[in-house]
Amino acid sequence: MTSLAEWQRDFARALQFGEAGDSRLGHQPGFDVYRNNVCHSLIEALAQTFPHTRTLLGERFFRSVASDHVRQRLPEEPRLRYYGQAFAEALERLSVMQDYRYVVDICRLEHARLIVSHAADAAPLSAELLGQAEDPQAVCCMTHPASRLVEGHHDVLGLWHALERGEDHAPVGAAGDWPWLLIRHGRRVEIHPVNPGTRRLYQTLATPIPLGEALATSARQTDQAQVSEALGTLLALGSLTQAQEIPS
Amino acid sequence: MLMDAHRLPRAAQGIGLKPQHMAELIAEPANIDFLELHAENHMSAGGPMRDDLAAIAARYPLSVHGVGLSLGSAEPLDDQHLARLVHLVDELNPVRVSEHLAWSRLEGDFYNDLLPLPLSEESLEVVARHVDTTQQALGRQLLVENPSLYMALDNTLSEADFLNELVRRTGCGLLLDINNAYISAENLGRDLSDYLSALPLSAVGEFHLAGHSLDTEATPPLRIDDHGSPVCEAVWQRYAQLTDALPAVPTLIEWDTRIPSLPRWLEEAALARRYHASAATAPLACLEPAS
Repeated sequence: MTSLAEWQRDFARALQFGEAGDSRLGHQPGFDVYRNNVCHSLIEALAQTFPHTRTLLGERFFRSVASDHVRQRLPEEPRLRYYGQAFAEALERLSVMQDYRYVVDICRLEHARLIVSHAADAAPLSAELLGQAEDPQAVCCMTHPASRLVEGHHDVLGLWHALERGEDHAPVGAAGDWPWLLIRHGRRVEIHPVNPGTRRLYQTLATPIPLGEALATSARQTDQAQVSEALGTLLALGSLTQAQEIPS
Repeated sequence: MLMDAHRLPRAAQGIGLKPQHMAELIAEPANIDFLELHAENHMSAGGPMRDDLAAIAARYPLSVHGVGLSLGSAEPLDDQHLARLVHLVDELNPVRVSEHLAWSRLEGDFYNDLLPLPLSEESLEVVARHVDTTQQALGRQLLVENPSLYMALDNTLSEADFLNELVRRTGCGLLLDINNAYISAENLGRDLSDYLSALPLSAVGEFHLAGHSLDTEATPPLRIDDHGSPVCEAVWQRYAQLTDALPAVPTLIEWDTRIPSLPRWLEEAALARRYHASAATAPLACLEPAS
């Protein structure tokens, strides 16, 4: 008799959806229920995570793309809400999507919104709090855990808001580099367009760092006025938090 | 304030906790003894859903039902996932913690289903080791749920013998899903009365009831455990017999697809309560098929 590990590998091979292969298991009556359960539940998970992408692609095409994705990439862990982190990249690689890259932007925004929705709580660092510090430059800070930066290819904010209202189309804005900052406030996740200087400072603050050091790093790539403006924007949006200590 | 883990009335009735019902459950106390949540849906670092869960935990006793620990995987348990489960249980202080006699993880991939495993001395050792590890990490007893099966496996131990020995070796409890037992008996042609009679009934810490569907296009037709409809009459009858034998055990009505309104779900729990109430006054019965 085969070992449990070998048996499970054989079962998993037979689960490779739609093909029984040469596995004895895959041909047994009833095996299809397991295959269908895995495939169907993962497509449903993607449909729940990406409702706007689904609207834009149409039900039939979305399910076809999702089905292909499920076959190529299984979840790495049991928390299904985090499944789909590679879905936007998979969409982007499809030649048919080259003229519809704004859909990929919407897809990225949807995944980022989900991550931000369930990210850790933390008190935002305010300009007032920073001003009370003995040495603001020495305050160790980092980006708020419930915030994310998304790099877009089109101005899709109008389209995003239309989709949020339940409409299925809206004009797509200009192509170009469109950095969006997502930040959770209470129960809402807000999306804000940010300028390149703000994006740069946000990226510099991805890990805990003394504020003065972050500003100096950012200033090497742009002028001081833009750095100050970027800090003001990030503080006003509530997208920074005070880090307790810098990991060694 | 969290509810006391031991504060559950005799023959308690519970329903599943779903996001679409959370606001309603918080706004007005529902006539229900406890709520059961799928652990993986609530393993997040923060955000409004966690706030809602804290509000729910302050109002209702909770039961934590895991679907992703993969107790039956030949490989070791996922330490990170176990740590997440421990964190959730520590936070919620639930009245029950349960998982499945199933596997879903292999070599870095997670197959999102409760996959069956052949029952043998080897798989018994694997599952017992994983249950031991989990109970030590949790610092409390785990209930293990019997599976719903769609195909025969190369077992060298019967499912009842496997569960008896698992309980004996680990001290775990049994989550007896009566719908699963019925589905497996129907799909595999096994005798449900024999199966139920051979289980370690004294270890049952919770009943599960749910609806299922019938796939008539399969050859032979298969009963599918989709949790998308009311409990069927045959399962109610078995429930009545089992609550005769185990009148104090809590019951959970599951509903995971085509989820009904909260009032409709509570009606189903009220129906279970009526079955249970009649059981409490009925003479102790052996587990024979309903006539």
